[in-house]
Formats: sequence, C-alpha cells, structure tokens
Amino acid sequence: MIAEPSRLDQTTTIGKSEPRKDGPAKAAGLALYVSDISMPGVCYGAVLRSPHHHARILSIATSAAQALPGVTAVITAWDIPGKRIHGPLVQDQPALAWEVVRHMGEPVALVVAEDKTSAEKGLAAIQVEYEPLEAVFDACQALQPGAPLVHPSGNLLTEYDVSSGDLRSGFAQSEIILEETFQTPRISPAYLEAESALGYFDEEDRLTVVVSSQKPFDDRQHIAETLKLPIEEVRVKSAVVGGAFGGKEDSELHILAGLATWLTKRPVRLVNTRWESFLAHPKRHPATLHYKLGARADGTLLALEAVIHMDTGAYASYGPAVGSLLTEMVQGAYRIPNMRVITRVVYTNSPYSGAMRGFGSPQAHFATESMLDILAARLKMDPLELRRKNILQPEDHFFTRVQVGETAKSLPLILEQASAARERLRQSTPAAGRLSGVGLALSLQSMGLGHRVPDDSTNRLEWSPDGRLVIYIGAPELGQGMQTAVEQIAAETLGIPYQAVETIDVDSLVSPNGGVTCASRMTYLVGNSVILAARKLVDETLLYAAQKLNLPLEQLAYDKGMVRLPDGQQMAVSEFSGRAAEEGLILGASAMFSFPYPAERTPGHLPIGMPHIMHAFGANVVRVEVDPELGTVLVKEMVAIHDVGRVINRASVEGQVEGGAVMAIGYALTEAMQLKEGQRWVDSFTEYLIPTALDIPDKIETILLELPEISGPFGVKGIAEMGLVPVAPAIANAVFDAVGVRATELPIRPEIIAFSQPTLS
Amino acid sequence: MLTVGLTVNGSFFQIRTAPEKTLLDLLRYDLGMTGVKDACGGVGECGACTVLLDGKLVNACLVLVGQAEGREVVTIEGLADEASLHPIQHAFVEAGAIQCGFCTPGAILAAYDLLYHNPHPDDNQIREALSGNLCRCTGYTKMVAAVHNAEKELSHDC
Amino acid sequence: MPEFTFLSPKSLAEACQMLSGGSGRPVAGCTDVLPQIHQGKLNVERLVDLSRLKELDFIRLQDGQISIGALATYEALRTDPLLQKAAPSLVQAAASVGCRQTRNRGTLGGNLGNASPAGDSLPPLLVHNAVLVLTSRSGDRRLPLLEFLLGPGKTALLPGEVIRQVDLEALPDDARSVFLKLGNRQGMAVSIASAAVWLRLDHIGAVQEARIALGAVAPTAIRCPEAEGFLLGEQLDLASAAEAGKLAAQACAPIDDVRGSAAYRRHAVRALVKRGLSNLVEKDMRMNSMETDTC
Repeated sequence: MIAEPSRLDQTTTIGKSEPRKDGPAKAAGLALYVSDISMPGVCYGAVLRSPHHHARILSIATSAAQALPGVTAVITAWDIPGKRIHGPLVQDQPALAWEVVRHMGEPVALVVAEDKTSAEKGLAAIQVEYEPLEAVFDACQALQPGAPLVHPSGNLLTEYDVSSGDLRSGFAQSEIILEETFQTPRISPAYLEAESALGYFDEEDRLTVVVSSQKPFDDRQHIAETLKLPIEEVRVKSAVVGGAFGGKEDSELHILAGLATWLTKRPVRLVNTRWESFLAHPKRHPATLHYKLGARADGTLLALEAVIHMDTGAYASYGPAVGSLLTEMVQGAYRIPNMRVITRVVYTNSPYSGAMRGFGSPQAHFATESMLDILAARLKMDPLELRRKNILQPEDHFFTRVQVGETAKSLPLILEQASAARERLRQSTPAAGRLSGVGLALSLQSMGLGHRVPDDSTNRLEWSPDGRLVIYIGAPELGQGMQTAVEQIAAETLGIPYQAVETIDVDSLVSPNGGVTCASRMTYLVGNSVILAARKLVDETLLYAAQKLNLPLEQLAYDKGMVRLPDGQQMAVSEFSGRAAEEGLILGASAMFSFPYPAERTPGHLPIGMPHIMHAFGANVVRVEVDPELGTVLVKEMVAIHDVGRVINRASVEGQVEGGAVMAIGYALTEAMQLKEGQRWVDSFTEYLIPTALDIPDKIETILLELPEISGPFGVKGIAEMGLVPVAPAIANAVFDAVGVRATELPIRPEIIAFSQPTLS
Repeated sequence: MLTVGLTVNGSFFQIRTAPEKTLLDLLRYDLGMTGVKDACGGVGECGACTVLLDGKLVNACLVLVGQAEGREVVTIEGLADEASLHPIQHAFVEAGAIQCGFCTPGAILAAYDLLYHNPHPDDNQIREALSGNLCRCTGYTKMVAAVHNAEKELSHDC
Repeated sequence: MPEFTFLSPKSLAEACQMLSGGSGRPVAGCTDVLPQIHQGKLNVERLVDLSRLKELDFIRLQDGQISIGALATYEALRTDPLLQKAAPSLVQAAASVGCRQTRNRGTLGGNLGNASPAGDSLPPLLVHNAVLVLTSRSGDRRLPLLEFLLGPGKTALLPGEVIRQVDLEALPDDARSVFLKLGNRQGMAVSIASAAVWLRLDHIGAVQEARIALGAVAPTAIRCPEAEGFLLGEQLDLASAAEAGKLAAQACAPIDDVRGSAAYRRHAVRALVKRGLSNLVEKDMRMNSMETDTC
C-alpha cells in the first residue's frame, strides 16, 4: 500500500531537513547556469536598446554594423519570420521594436558576433534615427486627459471594480472614518543571475534554447510562434536557475536567443548585464493606494473603499493578473462587511512591471496593515486586539464571495503566537541613543493562479532499471527547493528512501508540460500530481509483475519499494524494472493534477483570475531600533509565523521565510528603482541597495503552524511568497511604535523620521 | 595584447589576453572557471566573483589581468571538488544555506577567509565577513549558522 | 568595454616617466577606476599600474609624524597597530569602507586620487592636517590635502605626478579623535554624510583646539573653520556641541541625489558633529574603541 497523505504522524522523510541534492555541485561552483554552459563556436549576442523613454523610430541602418569583422548578423524586427508581438497575457510587446519605443532599454536590434568586443562594436555601429516623444512616468498622470499615449488603445490597461455589501450604509454607520494614501515603489527582483538564454542545434539538428526561466514550455510556444515553426521543432531546456522571484516569467531574451540561433544557424548566447536586467525585465508594480476605512468606536470594521493605481510601465506583462490579485488581497485577514475595491492598471513609459513575489499582495498589505494600526492608534486600542476583533472565521466569506474555510482556524493560533512574540520582543533593550519599537502585521496569501486560468501540472514517474525512482518534473526548480520537496513527497508516498529518488531537469523533449513555477503552488500541484502518478506507477508495476510471475494481480501487493508475493516473499522493484529494461520497456506513469475550483466554492461572476480559493494566513512581529535624530531604522529581531499546512522540508521552508523576510526589509527600508537626475533610471547595485548580511536582524525566529490542507499533498499549502508579505507593514508599525511617525510611503526614508516632531511613546 | 602567467588553484597558466580584461574575464572565459561569477556588471558591488589573490579575498572583476601576472589565485574550484567537499562547503549544504546557489561560491570563499583569520567568530563578525556577498534568496541567516557549524568542525580537526 | 594599454612600471621613477606625457592614469586597487570605466564614466588610453611598487606600501611613525605610503590598503590601515593609537579616526574610516574584498584592494592613494566628495579617508586626514608628497621626474613636492582637493574627481595632481605618501600629525597624547559615518545601509555603505572630529581639551575641560572635517556634503571633503573657531575656549557640553554642529551644517554645501536630500545631509552633519564632540568628551574609552560608528 502506498502512503496515504492523511496519515500525517508517521513519516519517514516528510518533515526532515533533507539536504538538497544539487547542494554539493552549487557549493563546489560546478552547477551550470546558462552563462556557464560550454558550447564550442558559440556566438555572443548583444541587444541594442533604446536610449529614449518614448520615441518614434524613423529608421534603423544596420549595414555598417553588418560589415564589421567579427559580426555575424544584425537582426531587426523585419527579419522575424513569424509573430513579432507577444506577451504573457496581452499581446502588446514587440520582440524587437520597429515603429516606436516605449521605455528606456527597449530592444531595437540584435547583434550576433564572434565575441563580446565585436558585438559591442556592432552595437555602436547601428544607426537608429529616433524622434523623441513626450513621456509619462506616473500612473495617475497617465490617466489625465492629454497625457502622452503609451499605447494606441489608451493608457488604462485594465480596471477592476469589485464590491460587496453596501458601502454607503457601511460608512453611514461608522463612528470613525479614516482616509489615507499609501505609496509603494518599483522594486527589482534583483536575482543574482541576470536573464540568460543559449540557443543551439541539438544532435538531431533541432533548434534548442536553454533558458533560465520559470516557464520553459511557454517560452517554447513563444519561440515557435516567433519563428513560425511547428512546436515539435523547438526544444527548450532548463539550466540551473539563479533565482527568479517572478521576474523570469517573461520570454523576451529566450525569444531573441531562438531568433538569433535560427537566423544565423550558429549557437548564440545572450546574457543580460545588470543594467539591462534593471531596465528591461519585469519589476514589482509601484502603486498608489487610497484607502477610506470606516469602523465603530469599539473597533468593528464596517466599510473599506480602496482606489488603487498601479504603474505597469510600457508593456502589460502580468499587470492585469497582479491587479486582480492585489484587489483580492486588500481585505487581508479581516471581516469587512461592506467593501469596494477599484484597481487600475496603467501604462506609462517606465520600465515595465510584471510578476514578482507576492504579486500585488505586498502592496495591498502595506496599506491594509498600516491602516489598521492607524485606526488602532486613533481608537487608543491595542493593534493586536483590534485585529482579533475583526479576524475572519471559517464560515465567513471574502468579499469575492469565496468562503474562507478551515484555513481561518489558524488565525487564533497565529494571534496567540504573535502576542507572545510581541511580549518577548518588548523585553529587549535598545542600544544607547536608540528607541525600540515593536510592530506586527498579519497576512493573507492565496495559492494558485485564480479561477478560469488554466492551472495544471503534469509530471511523470519512472522506475530506473536499478530500481531508483526518476521524476520527470514539468516545471523548473528556481533554487527554492521545490525539487527536494517533491522528491520527499514521492519517497514518502512510495515508501522508498529519499536518496533513491532523482529528478530530471525540464527538457521539452522528455519532460511533461508542468506549467509555470510560480504562485506558491508548486509543492501543492506537483506534489499532488506526483502522488497520483505514484498510484498509477504502482498499478503499472504490479500489472507487469503479475504478467512476469504468472500470478493473479489481486495476489500481489506493493510495499516500500517491494512487490509482495502471496507466499510472503518480497521482490525488489528493480527485479521488474530491470527485466522490463531488457525487454525495451519502461515502467512509468504520468498524472495531471489541476488546481481545484469546486463549483460550490467558486463564484463565477468575477473577471478571469478571480477569485482564488485556497488561502493561508501568517504574521510577522518585528522589533526595530530607531535613531530618532538621524531617522535610521535597524531591524533587530523578527518572529515570522506562518501556517504552511505541512512542513515537507523544514530547512527549505525556513529558507523561504527568511529569504522573503530579508527581501521585504529591502522593500521597507532601502530599495527603490526611481528616475533620478538626468532622467536616468537607477540601474545598478551601487544605487539600488538590497540588504547585505549586515542588514538582517540579529535573530529571525520562524514559527511554522501546520493546519493541513485536505487537498494538499500531505497537507501542504504553500510558502514561497508568504514570508515576504507582512514584513514591510510590520516594520512601518514598529517604527510608529518607536517614534510615533507614520510612514505611508515605502521605502521608509530616514528623513521623515529625522524631520518629524516625534511623540515618544 | 599581453601574456599573463599566473598560478590558479595550484596550476600554472600562461594566457594571451587583452590589457582591458579583468581577472574575472580570464578565470571565466580563458580558464573555464565558471564558479567565478558576474552578477553586478563588474563594478565590485556583489561579491559573486570573489577569489583569493595571493591569499587576500578580492573581487576578481576589479583586478586587471596585468595586475595578476605572477600571482597565485584560488577560486571555489580550488577549495575541493564534488567528491570531497571542504568542511565549509559541506556546512553550507547541510545547513540549508544554499538556494539558487549563484552567490554561494563567493560566500564560501568569504567564510573561508574569515575562519582562516578568525577561527572562532561571533555572529556579528560572520555577518561582517559576508557583507561583501549579496544574496537574494537565503536572507543570509542560514549562512551564519553554516559558518558556525564549519568553525566547530574545523576546530575538531586540529 | 573600451580598450586601453596597460603599463607595469618597475619603479616609481619609471611610473613618473610613463605618466609624464599626460595621457596616462595611475591605478592600484582599481576599486574606483574599473567601475567608472565599466559604467562609461571614465575614458582612459593608458593605465599605469603602481600596484607592484613596494616602496609605496608602508606605514611609519617617526617624531610624532605618521607617513603612509600611497599603496597602503584600507585593510592595512584598519589593522595597523601604530595607527590605532596615532590616528584612530582614520582606522575607523578604513573599517567602514565597503567590504573585505574592496578593503583588500582599495588604497589610500586611490581614495585621494579619485577625490570623491564622499571619500571616507579624507575627513580623518584633514583633521590630522595631512600633507601629500607628490613625486615626479623633477622630484618631490609637498601639498596640504586641502589644497590638493579641487572638486568632485578633481585634484591638483599634475601630469607626470604620482602620490607617493601622505604625512600626518600623530594624535598627541592629550588629544582625541573619532570618525562617524551615515550610510543608507549597514553593509557596503557609501557615505551620505561623514565627520571626523579632533579635540584637545585643557585640564578643566575647555577646548584648546578643535578640528572638524566633513565628507559627502560638499564638492570636496572640507574643514569647518567657523565651528572650530567657535569651540576655542568653550567648555565642551551638550549645548556647545550642538552649536558647533549647527555651524558645521552651515558650512557644508550638500546636493540632492538618490541617496539623500541636501536638507537631510545638512541635518545629518549637525547630528554627527554634535555626537562626535560629545562622544569624545564622554571618555577615553571611546577613543580606544574600534567600533565604527556607522549610524
């Protein structure tokens, strides 16, 4: 019998911090990222990028560049055989611009050369005549009449307007009404490995592109469409990925690598430099969030009206989807009977924004969780008690009409832990001259892509001839430990050692299409698919064994890597998989798992992508030390509390929570990709400051709650984004606790504290 | 063009290269040491290209090839191979201090340099030693734990 | 990546010879020069590598004067036992720069030649009345640091000249000094504002001499004569420290940039100078403590 996920207490590998199998290679510097792969005769690809924010292209002259020694080809939009315009949701983005450029850094031409020096000379020799146009960099300004038009269809890309209850009545009954506007900045995912792609022709002369990507199969589709090739003629492989965080869900560079390789018939590698990564790959949406909150004097929340503007930049990328999730997350963990959220996703001439860890949730939570503390201060209530008073119960419904469900049972536990953590953190004394403040925030995070968005994962399991389990996983590992979790789930399900399981990296030639690695749902989706496949694999194995042994199928059983015979004898699976291999057969099985949207739980009247129906809750309690005179904020201690359903690999889960938290410290205090003097963008690590090892708390304590998700493999929910979401508002709330200054804008600049008249608490 | 003779991980090499190239270019492209990485565009802001140059921890992107003439370089590839990891590498693996792995070689060398000079560092000293190596995945917390574990392991070996 | 020639002189004399044409740039640690070249901010035809000139790598103390060779790295400055007593503010500044990787390469000569308004070694050198020794084919000349720094990235170095060493007064037994720095981040922090404070008090606690230098808040690092003059003869307490801070803030000419606004930098100067002064009075413990005050 294979392990039933419901038997949660006795596990062999689930819950253990099994070391990841790619760890040794990474530690030894032997892991191969796209830029490390050795490829004889590989050409260097370089992209000519627009120096203007917004301009008409009058002409592109490439002959001088083509004539240079060492330059193999100069490619423009006119050389593209198939689709020239693509995009993950809205087809609005040229692979190479030919009429107009809409942001600084937009690709205009592609040079393929023998080496880097020749490529750079080639770039310099291309002559592009531009007619600069007026540009707009602010979402609200872009909606004003007379604003420069980024796309002919208008600057408003998408608008969501979701309500429940009766807003007017809610405010009418409110004894206190507060209004506030919050601003969050443009953030770079700033993964250490910039976007990269390598195109070549494989042993069968098939166009192959190796990518650092969250969605190799979608990349394959885009490449095939660009080159007007049948999809079977394009192969895509995943290299080791050096971080993604949402920023590698777009196919730009992969398409260009495919194009360059196809047209020159040479292997070509493109690797973005850091400034190209800043300018020309998706960012976290900057947002302006205007909130109006109504409540009773006893703290009961009655009404919330939110109007949100998101700057999606020059191209849509995942803007509409981020807008839709942001809309849902405004409610947070609270019961608010009357709500209206209007979210506008707006084009500007800024570098474009798309998916990034949290996907709208961090912006919404910064506003919502700050607003609650503002209300608490006005009512002279303990912010934790205010939250307790309003938290969702399992029988409540979100304003999207989805029932909250069992997952809300974690909230009282989370509050209990948060309360205890806050007490502990309040005991610490700050360094001389600094003021200590403790703040907290709750978080709601959803899993999955949202209703009516195709969300399937297909994965394949096979026994190798020597009885090891091989998983052909359909979606890539990004470094977060997904492969390890899936291997542990497979091992536990089949009762075999973790060491006996291996995963094959995504290769469209051999891997099933597992979708995109994103949305905190991979362990859940892939894990479930693997459990289904494991059941089928056991059936396959027993069927084969029955044939070979000439025994009735019902007399055979599977147990922990063994086939049990009627007389009690056991034979290792390898006896059969080895035999099958001799016969030219493979014992294997695939299964597809689709993210469930049961009709009874899923209202159908909302735009695509809404609602999400699976959620988890968490909290972050943080202690800061503020220098009141200089306004500098140090994050000293942190307690992260998250319900993950089930811990598959504790070290991995903690790693996701800690990594997300530190990423959020940057969000709260030091990171902003803004326009600076000379109308240039912040585009290097010299000015875009991500946290260093000295910027982390002395201590991050992670408390993991396990309230199993019935439909999840071994009860798993998701974790990848949750660790980040509550941290920035917790820090803002802690700063208020320390010096009485309310930061409504991220990053929290020392100036606002230094120049305030703080009321010391 | 110039010819540079240098020792890398114990072996002597003579490389013909251009004067504007850096030690990072030489190690990665001429010698195939892909464990030495470029994450910031060669401006010395990320530590992904960290190596030891005549025993000193440096960013290879800020060393001109001419300046490497006659010198000894140790890269991550020189610490150990996959079969037998150095205790610091092993500690990083065991502690869960590796996620995407791109910053890992540089961080391990920084830890190596620290423990060489300070066999029993405290948390602050470890964070300080790692402060020149940007990481976006781990939040550094498990790296600090890994260095503590390595330090205990190394002091047992003495 | 622009192309240039790379020259490796075997002696200081040879280096001066190579630089005499005026088209060369002396380099050592390259921690400023290479990033500037890679970011397109610096165009060079030839680089003259000084990094092997051992004769420029020293730290000496003699007759109350410290001499530091131009090739001394930040790491060398940070760990030098002589400097811990003779120029503690310089040691603190060196410890606050970048990270270990950049401190192992960045040199004093490079920091001086780069003449960034935010160069961390400069305020401590100014309060120690540093004098540069510049070498060329025609011999040595001495130039006070204040006259050497002309503007952001601009110095009085003539074509064919190389910074040989910096001479500074060792801290007298009855004086004390400190360096404070404000950055936007705790690690690899570029200064938004920095201050070096040097004080000598008489036996009743009145100021006999005060020197205050600021970094990152003017086109070059500067001294603050008004603040220094105000302190002369004053009993150093919180009020006089605050007033000195105010005067120092008036003396600076900061800019607005992505790292901070001019107004905030002025405010920071006030606070840093006030703290530096109070810190020095609050005891000798602080003088010997090697804790860098990165705020």
